Parts: sequence; structure tokens; C-alpha cells
Amino acid sequence: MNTIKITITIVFLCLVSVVYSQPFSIKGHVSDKQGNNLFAVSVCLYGHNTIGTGTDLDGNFTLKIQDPELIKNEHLVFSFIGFEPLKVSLDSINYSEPVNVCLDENVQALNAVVVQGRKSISREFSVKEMDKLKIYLSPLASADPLKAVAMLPSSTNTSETANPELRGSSANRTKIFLNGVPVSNPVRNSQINGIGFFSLFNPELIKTMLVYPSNPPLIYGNTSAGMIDIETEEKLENSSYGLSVSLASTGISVSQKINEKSFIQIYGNLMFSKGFLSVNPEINKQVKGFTSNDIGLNYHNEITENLTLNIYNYLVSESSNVVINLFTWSDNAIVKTIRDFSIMNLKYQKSKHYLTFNAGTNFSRSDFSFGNISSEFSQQQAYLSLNYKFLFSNNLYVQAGLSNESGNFDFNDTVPAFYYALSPESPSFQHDTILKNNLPESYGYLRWKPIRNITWGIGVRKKIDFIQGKNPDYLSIQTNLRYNFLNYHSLLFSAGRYNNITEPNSTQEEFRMLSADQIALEYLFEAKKTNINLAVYSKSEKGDTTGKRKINGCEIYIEHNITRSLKASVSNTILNSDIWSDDGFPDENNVGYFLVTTLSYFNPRLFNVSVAWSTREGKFYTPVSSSIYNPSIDCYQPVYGDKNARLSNYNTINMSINRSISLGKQSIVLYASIFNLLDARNPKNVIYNKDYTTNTFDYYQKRSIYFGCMLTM
Amino acid sequence: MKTTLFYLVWTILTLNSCKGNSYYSEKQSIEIQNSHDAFLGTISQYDTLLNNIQQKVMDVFVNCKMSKSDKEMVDLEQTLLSLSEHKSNGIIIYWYSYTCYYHSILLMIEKDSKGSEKILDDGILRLNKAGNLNSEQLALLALMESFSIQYASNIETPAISRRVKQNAEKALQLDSLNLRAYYVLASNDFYTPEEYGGGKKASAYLKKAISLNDQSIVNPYLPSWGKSSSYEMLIRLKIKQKQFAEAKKYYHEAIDLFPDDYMINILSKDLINY
Repeated sequence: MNTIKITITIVFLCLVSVVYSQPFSIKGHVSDKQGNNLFAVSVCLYGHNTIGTGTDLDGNFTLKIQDPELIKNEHLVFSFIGFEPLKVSLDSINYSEPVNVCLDENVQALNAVVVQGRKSISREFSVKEMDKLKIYLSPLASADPLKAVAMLPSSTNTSETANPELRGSSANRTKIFLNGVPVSNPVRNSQINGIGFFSLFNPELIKTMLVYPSNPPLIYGNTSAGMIDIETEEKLENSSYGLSVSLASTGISVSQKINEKSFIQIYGNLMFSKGFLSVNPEINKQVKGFTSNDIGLNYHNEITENLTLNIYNYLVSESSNVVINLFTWSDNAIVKTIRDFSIMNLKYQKSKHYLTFNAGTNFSRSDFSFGNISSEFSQQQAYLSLNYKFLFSNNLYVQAGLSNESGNFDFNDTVPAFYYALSPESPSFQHDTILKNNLPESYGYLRWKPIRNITWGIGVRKKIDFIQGKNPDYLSIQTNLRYNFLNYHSLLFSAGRYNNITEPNSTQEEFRMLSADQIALEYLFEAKKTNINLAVYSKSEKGDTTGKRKINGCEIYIEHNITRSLKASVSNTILNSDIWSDDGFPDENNVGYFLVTTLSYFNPRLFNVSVAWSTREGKFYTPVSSSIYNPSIDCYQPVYGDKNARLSNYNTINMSINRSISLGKQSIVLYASIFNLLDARNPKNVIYNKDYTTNTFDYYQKRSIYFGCMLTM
Repeated sequence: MKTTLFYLVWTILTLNSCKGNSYYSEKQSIEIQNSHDAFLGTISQYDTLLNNIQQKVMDVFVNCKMSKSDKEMVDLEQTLLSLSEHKSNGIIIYWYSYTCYYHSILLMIEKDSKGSEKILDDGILRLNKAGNLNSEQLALLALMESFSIQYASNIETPAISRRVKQNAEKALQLDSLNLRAYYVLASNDFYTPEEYGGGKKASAYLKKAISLNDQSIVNPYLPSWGKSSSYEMLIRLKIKQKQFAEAKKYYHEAIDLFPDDYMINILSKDLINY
């Protein structure tokens, strides 16, 4: 036993002598500029990557060097992800004291800041964020970005168009921004459902779409209800080409990489009505024909490391001939429109500074005729904005900017002398109007994360006084608060006062200043298989021709993946919208509830199918109770009665089905959709006979079938 | 007296030996069985735990696989989680999530799909919550998201696949020499069917990955995985494409660098006739 102990002792004593004859230690501490200890910083001898160590949790390190010869005229290198490597000469080190080192953040960290900085400052206060994939997968949206918005619980659209009406507010209060520039009239041929893309936007071009159903962020102006913020792609992964043919259109799309830093996307469609109307003869009774030819172009170029340019241009020419009923006259309404809008964005970024210049133009001309009404309307609009964002830290951003929206609106109209007498024989007169406006504004927005789970935003936007204009002075203010908790839960509170000036149109040839006070509280639960959104809101709107409006509502939305292939959702919005006047009455869209239920089966190897059932109470309307005969024009003037009449309930079931077939590197998608599957008769308006003694109904779209295919290469 | 002297020398040498060889003195005994309790210990104990943690996770994985129990894995996760609560640090969360990833694989092998999905989701969630992710964290996140596709619904799959790509590309934006980001991109492309646009870039990504160092500077606290897996995937890809000469070339390179790698070794049977 003793022999063993002695042997072991001798062996270890030998080892001790080896150990103590060699070691050479350098001790020290590493921190960042704010004095935070840096953990896991690599510390090694320059040129000898294997002679190294890492700092501990307190930023301390001990580097042992076995061969003292190695350190002569050498350097220690400190490196860590996100920090600039630092070389320290070993000759300058006093080995008896710890080496204290401070590292600077490097380009990687700044890159992270830049990536962060590119995102919208108010992004966390949007209720829904969609990319192109989500748009494509949105049930029954027909790959249309605005139709996807119409499927959200916050959509209170009662017109079956893609024009967004959010949380009870009219469409002229909600704005759509494309790359920071407002796009007015974002819908084409919207009355003709089931045809291709209903909005002006091609989903292939879209990178993100942020939806603010109320409390629009004040980094953008001229909106007093909701806002949709669309950004186009900044990077093209691959060049691709597409061809599409359907019952009513043919289209082509090209996405071409020019080089690693630039790309171009071009798309165009020729839309025609013959095929669609022959398959859907019921639609043909009302829709006599339509065409829509458009071409869009998006060009993106990273000019330098810091500077990017994006140009978007869209040209559309369309016409439609649809039978409509106004008062007692039924006739063909013929519309022809040609329109071009362009958007240019210059973005400059340098470390934590982010500067953008946005410019947009919109030119359009349209002719409209119906009965004794004819209208030639042209508009020229220009938009400019300059925005500066500074990222003080990852938690504190500030953005400020200036914008100006100007427009010329020229109306050459023949209008009825008596508003209720619309036949071509009825008297009319010439009414020409030219309207001009200039809307300069300035704004500031601050986003701060005081603690990890809370984000707070505050924004101010004001008309600039020193530029003469016809618009009254106004100030918009808002605050937003988001609290994320228990991993999947969020609470979002927003409140503010908002203002906007409406654009003149054929039915309202004037600029109107609208304002709204809004408050909203939302709860979001976003887990892997289940999403729940709850919202309550209250709004007070002023400035509409109908008078002051009070809107209160609540929304509930539940979406659940039942199996890997089956997904269901249900949403209901309870909406109470009243006009406040001496004789207060419910607004047209005070429909009590909007209930939408969807069921989607998704199996890429077989087919994808979605079914949606939408139901709501009928719209309010004011019936004609009697009429007064006007012998001079042989026409009856309506006398309106009680404002509380309601149309019967709205019910529709829509279905879409598609199948993707792979042909090597190409793929074909076959699709079909049926709108109003059960061919329900949903009354839209009341139609009266000549003396208003009997009435019938004008109905929402009857059953229609649409199909087509798309080839992608 | 002799006995006293013996124990004295033994104690000094043992302590000294631990200090002088902290790099991997604990290799033979991963002191994590009691590590959850040991959390209340000193900083140096945590350093011991985090030192060469990647290998420790792998060892725990193998132990659990052999014993058919995930207790060691759960203990390691608990320890890392407690440590991260005590000392907020992105690297600790990284290793927690990395452990979750292997735990998820373990449960998948044991056919506990629900458990596998749950632990994977937790790792992804915590990594996401860390905020301002660096290149390594993004690469791991992409890897885990890619693995999660097997549990996702058909509706979610395209979105997850897109996210995998975005996160891996962002990782490369932040560090163009991160081989793990290249590996994840390659893996995503490799497993995407041709008809959905896959199989075009895996080879280029993998060749880039194997040309890079697993760490720019040796650091026992930071990740170094990915190189052997890149070799293995590249060889499999070349075999699949029937480019056997190239497959053999990469096999020989790989076996020189990783002679004990089981996954690379088993590929020899596919190359034996060429």
C-alpha cells in the first residue's frame, strides 16, 4: 500500500514540476462601451488561433501560454460577434495586473440596426401584417391584397368591393400607402366580382402589408379611419416568368434579376368580358360588358451600399357598361377611365440615420354617362415627402418629416336640373368646376421600449401654417401602447385625434375636412395552431355630409388548425353606427353583426379548397313614403319617410378551389371559384316605379363562376 | 504522516489540474446531474458548464439515447434556463435552444411527436424573444424552424420555409463567414422538392460551408457545429446526383477531418463500388 502511495506521489510531483515550469498566464477583463461585461469574447494570440480562451460570465479571462517564446513582439486579439476585433500589443501589457479591454460595436451590429431601421417605426402597432404568401393563402381573397383585407374581422364593407371600409368608417376616410405614397381609388372594375385582381396591386410585388384598422400611424397623413401600408419587394430571389389565362383575362408577369443589386418586375393583363358573361348569363342581365388593360413596372436598384432607388409605375385603361337604377330611372352606366400613377423612393441609410424621399404622381381622366348625366373628370395629383429616422438605440427610435399633397380636379359635367329626374329627356345643365388644393404637413413620431415587453408610441401631425391654403388649421395626435405577455399574448391600446381632407369626385365636388376621435383596445393571442383577436373600439367622426357619426364596435376572431390540412375560422363584428343630429338615426352600415365563417382544406398533393359563409343584418335605408308630381318635367319627386327601414339579411357562401401541378421546374395552377354558391337574393337597394307606388329590389351579385390557370416558370 | 502528506499532495494536484485544464477537464464527467441545484453556486461553476457546451449537449444526447430517458436533457435545459434568468445573456439562450433542438430530435426518435414539437417550439420561442439576434442565433433559429416543418400544418409550411430562408440569409448578411448559415440554407434547399424550386443551390452552399472555418477563432463558449454535417450532406447530394467521383473526393476529405463521424462513415457503403 505504502509503495503505491509513494509511487503515485512521485508521479504527481513530477507532473507538478512540469506544470509549474511552463505556465504563463495573462488575466483580464472585457466590457463594452457602456461598461457591460462581455461573456464569451474570444481571446487569442495573434496568428495562433488555437492558443486562446473565452471570457467568463463576468467578462474575466485567463489565457495560459505554454511557450513564453511565442509572445515576443506579439499581440492579443479580442473578438466577439457584433464587435470590432481589437489587437493589443503584448509588449504594452503589465502581466502583474489584469488587462482591461473595451470593445466597440462593429458593422455586424450596425447591420442589425440597419435591418431594424428599415422596418416601419409603427409596425408593432399594426393589427395584421401580411406578406405575399399570406395574401396568396388567404381563403377566398383570390390573391388580391385588398380582398385579403376584406376577409379580416375589422372589415365592415357592405358593398362587395375590394375598397377597404374598416371599423364602420367610409372608404374615403381610409388611405392606402404604397411605398409611403398615398394611392387613391385603389380598386378597378370592383363591381364585377370574381375577376382576377380587383385592386390595382399585384401580390407578386408585395413584400409586406401592414393593416391598421383604426388609429392610423401619424407618420402618414390625410387619413381619419384606417390605413394600409404596402411595401414592395427589396430583393428578388430568382428570376421568374408567369402566364395566366382565365375566363375573363390573359396576363403575363416577368420578374427579372438584372444583377445582385437590381431587378425589374413587369406585369400586364388584358381583361375582357365575353367569356365570363356567356358562362354567367344571370350576371349578363346587369353587366353588359367590361374591359381593363393594365401594365405595371417595378424597378429596384441598390445604387450604393447606403442608397437605394425604387420606381413603380402603373398604367390602366378600363371601361364598363353596367345597368344601374337611380331613383326611378334604369339605364346603362358607361364608364371609361385611363389612369397612370408613378411612385419613386430614394432611401439613404448610414449607421443609425435613415433618410427617405418619396414622390408620387397620379393622372387620370374618366368619362361617365347615365341618363341625362354626363361627366368628364380629370385629375392631376402630386405627393412629396421627406422623412428622417434616427435610431438612438434598439429601444428608442424617432422619426420626423414633411409632406405635401397637391391636386387639380377638373369637372366638365352635365347634371340633372332636378335631382330625381334622370331620364335623357329630363332637363339638365352644364356645370364645370375646377378645384385645386395643397396640403402641406409636418409630423413627428417616437417609439420607445422602456422595458422588454412594452412598446410605446406617440405621434403628432400638423398642417403647416406658413403655406397659404384653403384648408383649416388642424393638429392630429395619437398614442399607442403594446404589451406582450406570457409568450403568445398581446394587448394593444391606441387613441388619438385624426384629420383628413377628402378628394373631390363626381358625387361630391368639393374638398371636405373630416376628423375623428378614436380609441381602441385589442387583444391578440398568436400561438402556433390558434389565433384569437378581440377588439373594442369607439369613434366619433365629424365632417361627413350626413353629419356627425358615433361608431362603437367590438370584434372577435378565432382561427384554428384542426388538423394538418384543415383550418377553420370564425369572426363576428358587432357594430353600432349612428348619425347624430336633431333627429338621430342609424347609419346605413349599422348592421348589428357581421359574421364570417371559413373552412379551408389545404393539401398541396391533391387540391386546396376554401368555403366561406358571410351573413349580416340588412343595411338601413330611408324608404320613399309618397311622391309629388312635377308636371313641368313629367316626373315624381320622392318624399322620404321613416329612416329606420332595414333591408332583409345578407347571406352568401363563396367557394374557391385550386390545384398545383408540377412539370419539373415549371408549375401550373388551376383554379376555380363560385361566388354566391346558393344564388341567394341579397337586396342591395330599393327600386321604385315611376310614381314610387311600388318597389322591387336591386340585388347584390348573383351566383357566378370563374376559372382559369396560371403557368409559372 | 505519510497518509496526510499523500492526501495533501493529491488535493493540491487535483485542484491545480482542474484549474490548469479547464478547457475540458470535465469531459469525462459532465457535472450536470446536480447542476440545477448547483445553480446557486458560483460563477465559475457556470463557466464550467458553459465551457465546451456544444460537446456536452451532444454527450447528453448520446447518454439519453442510450438510456432511453431524457432526464439528463431536461436537467441541462433547466440549468441553462435558470442561469439565463439569473444572468441575461443571448449565448445562454442560444445553448438552451440548441439543447431543446437535440431534445426534440431525441423525442422524435422515441416517437413522442407531441413532446418533440413542444420542446422545439419552446426553444424557437425563447430564441425569438431574445431580440436583436446575431448571426449565430439566426442560423440556429433557421435550423430549428426548418426542423419544425414536419410538425406544421400544410397551410403553414410555405411560410415557415420562407422564414427559414430569410433568417439564414439575414445571418449571412450579419456574418458572411458563418458556415452554419450556409449549412441551413443548403439543408433547406436540399429537402425542398424540385417542383417547389429546391435542389438548385444546395451544392454551392455546401461547398461554401466546407471551405469555411467552423469558428474564426477558437472559443469554447461559441458554436462550432455544421462542418461535418455539411460534408455529409454534400456527399449524399453528389451520390443522389450520381456524381460519384466528386462524392468520393469529398468523402476522403471528410473522413480525414472527421474520422469518427458515424454519419460520414456510413456513406462509404454507397461509394464502395465506384
